[in-house]
Amino acid sequence: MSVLEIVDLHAVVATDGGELPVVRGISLSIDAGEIVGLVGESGSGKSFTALSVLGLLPDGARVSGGRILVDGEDLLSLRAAERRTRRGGTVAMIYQDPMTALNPLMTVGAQIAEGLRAHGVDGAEAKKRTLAAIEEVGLPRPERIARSYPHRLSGGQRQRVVIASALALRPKVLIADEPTTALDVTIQQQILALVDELRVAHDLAVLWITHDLGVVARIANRVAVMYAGRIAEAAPTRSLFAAPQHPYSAALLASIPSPTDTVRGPLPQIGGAPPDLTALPPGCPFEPRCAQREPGCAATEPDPVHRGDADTACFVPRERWTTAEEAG
Amino acid sequence: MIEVTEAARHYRTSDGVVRAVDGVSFVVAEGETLGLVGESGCGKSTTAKLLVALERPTAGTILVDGIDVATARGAELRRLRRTIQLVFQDPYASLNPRRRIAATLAEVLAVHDLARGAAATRRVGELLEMVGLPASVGERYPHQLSGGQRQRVGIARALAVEPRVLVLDEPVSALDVSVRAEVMNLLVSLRASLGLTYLFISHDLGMVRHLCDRIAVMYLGKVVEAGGWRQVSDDPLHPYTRSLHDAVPVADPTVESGRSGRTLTGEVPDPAAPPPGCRFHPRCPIAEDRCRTTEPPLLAQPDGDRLVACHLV
Amino acid sequence: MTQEMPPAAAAVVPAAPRTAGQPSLPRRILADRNGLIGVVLIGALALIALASLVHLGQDPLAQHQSGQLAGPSGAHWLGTDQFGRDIAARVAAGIFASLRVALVSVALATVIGGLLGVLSGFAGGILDAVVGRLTDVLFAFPATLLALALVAALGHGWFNTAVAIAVVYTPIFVRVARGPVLTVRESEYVRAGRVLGFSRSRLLFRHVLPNVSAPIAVQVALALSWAILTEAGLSFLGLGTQPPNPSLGLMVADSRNFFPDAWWTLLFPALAVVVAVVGLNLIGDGLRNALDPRTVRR
Repeated sequence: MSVLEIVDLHAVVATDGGELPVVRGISLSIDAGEIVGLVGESGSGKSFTALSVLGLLPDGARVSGGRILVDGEDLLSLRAAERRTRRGGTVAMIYQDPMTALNPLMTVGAQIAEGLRAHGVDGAEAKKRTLAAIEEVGLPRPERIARSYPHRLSGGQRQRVVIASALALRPKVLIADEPTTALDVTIQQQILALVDELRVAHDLAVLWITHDLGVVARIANRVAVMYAGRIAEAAPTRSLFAAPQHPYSAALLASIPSPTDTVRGPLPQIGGAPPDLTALPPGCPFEPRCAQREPGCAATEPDPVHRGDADTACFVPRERWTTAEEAG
Repeated sequence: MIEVTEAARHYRTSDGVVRAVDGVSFVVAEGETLGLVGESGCGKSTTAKLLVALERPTAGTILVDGIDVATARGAELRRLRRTIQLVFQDPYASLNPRRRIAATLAEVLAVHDLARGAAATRRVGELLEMVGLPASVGERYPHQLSGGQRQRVGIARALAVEPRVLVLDEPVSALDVSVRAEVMNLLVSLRASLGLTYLFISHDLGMVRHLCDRIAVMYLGKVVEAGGWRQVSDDPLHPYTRSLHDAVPVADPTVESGRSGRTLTGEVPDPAAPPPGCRFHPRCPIAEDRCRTTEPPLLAQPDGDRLVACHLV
Repeated sequence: MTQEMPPAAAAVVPAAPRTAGQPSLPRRILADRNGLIGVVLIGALALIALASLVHLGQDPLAQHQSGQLAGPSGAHWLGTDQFGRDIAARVAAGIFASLRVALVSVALATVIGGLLGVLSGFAGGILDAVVGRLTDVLFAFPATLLALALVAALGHGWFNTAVAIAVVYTPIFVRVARGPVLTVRESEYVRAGRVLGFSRSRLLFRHVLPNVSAPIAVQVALALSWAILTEAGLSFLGLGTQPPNPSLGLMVADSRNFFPDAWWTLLFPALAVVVAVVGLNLIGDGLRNALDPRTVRR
């Protein structure tokens, strides 16, 4: 059953020119033991979606509608203090840059223990669980690591520490905001394998935010592709890669060079740029760049429909697509 | 066009001597594209800096179109600047935020006495057109452009001196996925139309495979494998190249689920204290005793134009 | 080109942002609310100071036997002091004296300190080490004590006061300039300039300096306000402007004996100092916002 359920989430950012709609009606649910990849380019609203779940939107940004349910409890209706106990307690987060998530002046062990104590775990027990958490993320000699300061650790070790800290309180939901983007590929591989292991061991529901479709192909059970603040397509990973139901997902996949091409032609380009969120067109936000557009697409914005295995916000079914752009 | 022979760049730090580049040799023919692949600390970015004389080698020689990069001064250095140029990873950081694009490009033309006044304006327009940008972009500041547009400007600035070689240091890594294809296509078409030679530095094996004629893989300041693009990327021989090949996620769940699940353990050692013998041996799944003591030379393989530094291939 | 670029490629430029025709710096300061208030306050003080120069009002030194310590009236708008001198005229002349010392001292500190900071940051090496140690030494002295000692050594007079304050503030400018230079020197656009064959002086003056001018300009506004306070402090202690010449610090010092009965002797000179300090700080805020090209967009 779904542990995290986001229902019709809207978020806005205040600017000089009024409020910018950065998340425009997102619905998404994640089951226990499932990893959902949230894919999108800069400005698509994927980070705002993640931060909304944690209640950590930056100044000027706010959730303007919808519900965020964790185990059936609406986080948005909670008071600030209750919200805080859920944060870290039931919903945890790991970040792109682990250094920003760690206090450089505290030992790693003290930081993990501090998080535990903030949620009511007392001294000796906190210490024990800190060491157990460090050991669980595969770091050798936990006592020594616990006594280290963040700058003494490598990038991969730091990310492991952040994961240990996030999971020490046995959360049900883990939000991962591009946690491997800054890491080398061999270290990324280790972290991906680790998160997958922990997901199985603890039945975690993971929302994995990334722009890297390769990472998604490796670890996600399902994928949601965001465009201009909405989910263009959500589908099981294999279906999405095999037969994308939204022209944007199809174009995104086609633009990546295939590892098996023997003749290297030009990469299919999408062309154009994402729409200006201050002046969204009335129709489908992807319509101006879309290779499959039909006359009706510019008139109204499509709502998600179920097609094949996918939910896709597109009027034009795959069968009607004209060009050979659907990646094979 | 480029001839690097046993080049080394060592830095003295408080932790000892960091061997960022430690005896690297390769050749790039005119019109050819060499891909330089590796993880952070492997020395690929330092190699780029050595080629464009941002850093001078502490040993070895680097020739670019016959110019000795280590000793070039004065007129020779100016000739080097006009022969080889660098495109940076972060197009935002590499553009002066207080200058309009046209001024940034015109400055390069003025410094090299290539064009002034109306001729410079015309040339700026040509350069922007060459990289697929409208002339109106010249009136913008960097922060008013998208990431892809900025990188096109970065390429146009490098092309302003009419170089024959471009060193591309992770030119698409900072860009959005859909924009990467545009910039890659631009690089391919510029190479064809201007007859450019490229040194393409990247950690993204997929992009390297798409653009390069030959690929060299670096680990801890050394080249461990070099060869044709299909050889190195599809049929790697060195255990490190193989691990890299397995580690890079591919946008294809069928390929991904067929993976062995073996992960390379450990991390890249400190370049101030590289391990004895083969530098990869502490992480190598097939290391033997001699790997711990004797450093393997980069040797030609029987399958033709390929070099591998491993005792066990 | 052998291959046609798809027309849609990057030819799409987002709608021209408002910054397209960027307004000039003064306009941008005035567009900032803090900057505008600051400019109005300091502009008013400057006008008053100029008025004192051309003796528009009373003579600040003239003693009016008729009324010592007289309250504000039609003849003396801000009252008179213990010698029957017109406080309005003395405050105006005091403002002029304060601004003169502040401007000269900060100009000296900015040019010398800024130049040393930029050069040492850009060149590095021995120059940087020597300048760094010297600033450390100057920083080791408490600022006011150092200024006191210097004035005592140099002797009285407004210019000597300005020099003393300049010496105290020079190391601040060295640091304010050097820090950003270190960042900008390592920035990729400076590196790109090196690869493109730009000379060191071109890089320094065309690329580094414009990008470190913002923190220096902000520091100038803040230092001016401190300089006014320091000058007032020195005069208060009897080491700045000498009587009978008018000075805000001196007036505050003199009023100590009278202000319970004659509040105007304290209020108006003190108010002038406060307005000057607040106004300059507000201009500093306005400058900070106006000089960052990225804030313009928001």
